[in-house]
Amino acid sequence: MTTHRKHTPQPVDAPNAPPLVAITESAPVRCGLIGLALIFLSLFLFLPLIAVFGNALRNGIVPYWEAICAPDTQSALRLTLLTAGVAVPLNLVFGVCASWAIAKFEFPGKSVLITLIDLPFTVSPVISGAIFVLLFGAQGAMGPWLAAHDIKIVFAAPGIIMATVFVTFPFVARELIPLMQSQGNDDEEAALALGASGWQTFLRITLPNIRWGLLYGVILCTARAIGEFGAVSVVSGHIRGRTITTPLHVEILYNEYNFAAAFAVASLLAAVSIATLAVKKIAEWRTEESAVGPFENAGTNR
Amino acid sequence: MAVASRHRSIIPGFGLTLGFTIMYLSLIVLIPLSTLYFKAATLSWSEFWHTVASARALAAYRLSFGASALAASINTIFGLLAAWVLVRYRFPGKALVDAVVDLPFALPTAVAGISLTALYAPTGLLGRRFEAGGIKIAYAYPGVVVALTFIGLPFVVRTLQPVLRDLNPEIEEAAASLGATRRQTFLKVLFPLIFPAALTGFTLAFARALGEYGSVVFISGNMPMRTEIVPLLIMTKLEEYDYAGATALAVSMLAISFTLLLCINLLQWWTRRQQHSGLWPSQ
Amino acid sequence: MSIQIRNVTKRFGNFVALDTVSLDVASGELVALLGPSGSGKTTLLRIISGLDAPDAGSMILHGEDATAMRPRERGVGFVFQHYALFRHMTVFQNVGFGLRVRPRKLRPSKAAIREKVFGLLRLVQLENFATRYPAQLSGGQRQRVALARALAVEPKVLLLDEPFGALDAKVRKELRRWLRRLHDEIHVTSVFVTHDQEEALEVADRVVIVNEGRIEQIGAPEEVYHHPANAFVLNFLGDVNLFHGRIHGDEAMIVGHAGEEPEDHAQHAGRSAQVFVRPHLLDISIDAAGRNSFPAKVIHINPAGPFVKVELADARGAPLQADISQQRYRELALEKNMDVFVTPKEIRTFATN
Repeated sequence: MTTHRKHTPQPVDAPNAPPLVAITESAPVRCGLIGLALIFLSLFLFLPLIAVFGNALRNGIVPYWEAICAPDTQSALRLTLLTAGVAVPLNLVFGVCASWAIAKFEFPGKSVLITLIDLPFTVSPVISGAIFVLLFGAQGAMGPWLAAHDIKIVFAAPGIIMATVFVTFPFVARELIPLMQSQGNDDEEAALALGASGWQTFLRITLPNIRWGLLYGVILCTARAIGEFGAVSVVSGHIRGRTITTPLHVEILYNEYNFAAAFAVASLLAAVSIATLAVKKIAEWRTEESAVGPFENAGTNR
Repeated sequence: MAVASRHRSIIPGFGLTLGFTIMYLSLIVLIPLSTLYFKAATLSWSEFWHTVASARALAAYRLSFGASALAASINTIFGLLAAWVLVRYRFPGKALVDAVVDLPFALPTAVAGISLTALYAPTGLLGRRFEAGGIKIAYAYPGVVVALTFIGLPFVVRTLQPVLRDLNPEIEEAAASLGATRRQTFLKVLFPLIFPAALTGFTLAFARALGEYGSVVFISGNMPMRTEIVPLLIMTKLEEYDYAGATALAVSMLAISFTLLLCINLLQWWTRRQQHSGLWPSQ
Repeated sequence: MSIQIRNVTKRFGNFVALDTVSLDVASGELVALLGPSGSGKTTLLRIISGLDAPDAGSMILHGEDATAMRPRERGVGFVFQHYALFRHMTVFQNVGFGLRVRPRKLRPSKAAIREKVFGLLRLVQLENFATRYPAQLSGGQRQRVALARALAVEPKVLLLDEPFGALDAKVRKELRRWLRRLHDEIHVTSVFVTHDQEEALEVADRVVIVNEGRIEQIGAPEEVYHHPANAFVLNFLGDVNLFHGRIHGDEAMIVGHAGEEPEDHAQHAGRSAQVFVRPHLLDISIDAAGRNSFPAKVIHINPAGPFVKVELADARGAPLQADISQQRYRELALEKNMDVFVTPKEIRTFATN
């Protein structure tokens, strides 16, 4: 270097990143690949989604409305809301606790704990339902005791709720753990050093930082709680008006060849899933905005 | 901050949160799941074998594993294509397409099941066309593959997207300046780099497909020996109050999928080690 | 002539990276493209390689119009700042890559590839590292592998983008001397990009100074250093003290110092100019040493190093730098806040319009 330290400005990128001439495909190849991908995604994603609404409104708006207002549909919706209303708050509290413990502290067996939290994802929904039948069913481990005390779990609402809690168990924790791990402890330690209590620190420092991830976790958890089919199907017993959740109601209507009504109810569930995707996209944009500075692309000089 | 002081962190709530986490995990997941193994332990070997090796169960295994593998393979190929297109190219509606990739995560499986059936049934919008060509999709093997492809689709795309995004363009430029064609660059330079992620995506899609129930029951037709998947067979056993049979099938299914996941994790670990570590023997 | 660039222009959106640039590089030459970040030097290198295409202008490689050629048709080797080695391939596979991807008819036999690769590895002194992966090499070793890989395809032109930019200072110095020796040995036409003037002046046969998409000066290192074409070049090739001055006929004069009354002259005398003095050409004395001397105050002294670096402030408080020898420093017994005189031994003047 020269005798004096010379200030070298940081590389500043050109305002628009140049198209990389040498490493892209020719226009026809590009269009071909885009076309092929879009055909595949249309066949498997867009068409099924459109088909739900198309079939639901096949006979017009009046039968659609009647199908949704039918007493069986209403009771199914009520049970679904009850199930989600219990399962989501439980798993929310668990998710926040688990991610706090895992992200903020070091302890032996941490990776085992993370694996165990993911466990319900690797178990088939049918098996998830089956374990509750094995545990609480008439021939199950606790069956005789429950019968003696006249407590009904399987083929009743409690069983449905339990199976749903099991299936939706990892969602919130899974969103929050990597998010909180990436954020580190600095903010919390600063707040505590300034005299905030643990609870204040959580509410005023941690919560605002994780709110979008938390929201997305809750939304995913809710969507799954509302839409769970396999596990609930096993423990439900299919008692009309009593243990039928919305997805089960869709199945019943469909199997009765009442297709328009089945799709009408299904369209409600599809609307929930569309809302889920929208929230996910928004949450992604929000986190990108807060995480990425204006000079994201600086550093390459071309 | 020193590493040692992390243990005695000033952050409160460790005992409370970890305690609750472990208690809740045990209550909701571990204890219920362990009943499956206790129940399985009460089965005699012949009882177990009788269920697991029956002709009907074997046919279900063949279908479940075969169709899942096929669906995961389709997803790997087209998922790679979709991820590539979404990362590399600009086209109108890209944000919408990118958002909808997650649909199978969010859409209830029963809804997906009836919708795919309506589309691919012999009278359906798409099924009609295939039927004209003599191909039956719904209520046959292809129908099972279609449903399993749907539910596994996001796994490969979402695993590959960040990997493709992080690829250094200089690597491809280097290959181009050394005289490689695009095809050679993709096959010899890019593919080896994204292969581990593609394998992960395949595994995740495969594991998800193995356990899938809701979307398949509508489209498969559920014919024993022909289009009956293992989860459906477990369901049937439960409905017949054959808890022993259901347990045997469930345990075998879990054991097989855990083993598969383990194998592929090992394979991945091995690939990574070969590429990154300084431990690869230098002759 | 190996490379002829004619009126090349390149824009990225509204940003003009290269503005009608023309440049000739002779066969066997080692040319440095020197300029600050964002000056367009890397863009120029990428256009020569075919990794970027110019918006206007043309390029001739070895007498052939190469403007529309793909990179792989041009016969250029490119060495990237961050090496861009293929991490899933061994050193041997990396170096041999360009030979293995040739069309079957032009592809050398396995044995020939092997011989060629080991020859190159000997050249870059890495013959014992053939089976290593890039992750197992140091930065300097990786850059040598990248160089061997680029040379394997026997390029007619070798292009290096900040080849030593990612290395630490000591390795960088070693490696650039090594590159100079290597070039003397193999004589392949080479163009390298750098923002380090010392590197450019030490290694290159000719230096091309680029700024804001234009070429400011082309010349041999001693030429550009001793006869800078303009203020930018002078400024970029080392530290300078800047004064405002006026040109009276053949004489330049620093305004606001010395004994004169500048305010009187400023109105009518001569053209306004920028006057530059390199720190090592600014002498310090206790008393005025002639009519060019002017007073200054010592602000800070850094005696560590071959020179003593003295920071001063002139009568108006503007900062000055002077590099004096250790001996001179002891003679003067300089201390902080001392009032001294400074005398430019040699000045360079550029008229401002």
